[in-house]
Amino acid sequence: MTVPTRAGFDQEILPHLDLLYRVALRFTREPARAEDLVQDTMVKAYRNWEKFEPGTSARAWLLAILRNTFINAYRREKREPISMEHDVLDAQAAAHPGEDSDPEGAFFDKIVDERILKALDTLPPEFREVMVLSDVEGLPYAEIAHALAIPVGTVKSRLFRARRLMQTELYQHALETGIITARSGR
Amino acid sequence: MSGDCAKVREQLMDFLKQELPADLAAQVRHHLDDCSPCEDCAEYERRFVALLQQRLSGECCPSTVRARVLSALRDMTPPA
Repeated sequence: MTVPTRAGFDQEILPHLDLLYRVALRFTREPARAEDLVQDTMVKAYRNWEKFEPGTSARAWLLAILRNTFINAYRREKREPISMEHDVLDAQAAAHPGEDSDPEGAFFDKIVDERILKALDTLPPEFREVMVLSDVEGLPYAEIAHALAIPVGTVKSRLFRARRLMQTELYQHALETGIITARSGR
Repeated sequence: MSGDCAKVREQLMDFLKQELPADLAAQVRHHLDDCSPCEDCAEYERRFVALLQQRLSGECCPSTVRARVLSALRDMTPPA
């Protein structure tokens, strides 16, 4: 087994600083808090570097530290219990928002960045964190499960519900602002 | 919607994340080639994920934050 070193830390961890900052920003929703969260996470990671298992995902390890730090020290919002996770199988067969008026989702491209962020920020935290890691940052299920300490099945059901919630929100916005009209299309 | 469609819709999220085993992925791909409502659904999900990646994943850690972090690490005892 290789001995953990400062050089090893720099090589494995520093390349993930941009990702870490973006995730911190999405978690905290405030740049000043995100900066502190990144710094605290990096200091903790450095202090615990000998606990990192070489060959496993450094970014999942780092994100797990970020999340624990966030929950312990920064989170002011209360976690609401998640309901309706058992509805996932039913929901999967159901139509997506806009199925009749814009089946291919062409309206998504016309929505401004600010509104996309707002829709993401209004998701319940358990859904938002899965959505950020999967759909913004492109992490596979296994790494998300590792980072959030939840089973892969839970990652999938939360991701599915998060997408539907956010798609519904964006679709409503597109209707209200006239980006699409409910009766257009087929 | 046929039984095949219902099955494909259930596998669509895993398929688009490239997390389906190769044999199942081939079945889904084959179905999407022939079924335009399911292909529309797939396109809808692709556009949604592309939207999030394109619009929200470009931000970098500000250089001031990077410098602050590196400076904090320099002041610490090296690990092990």
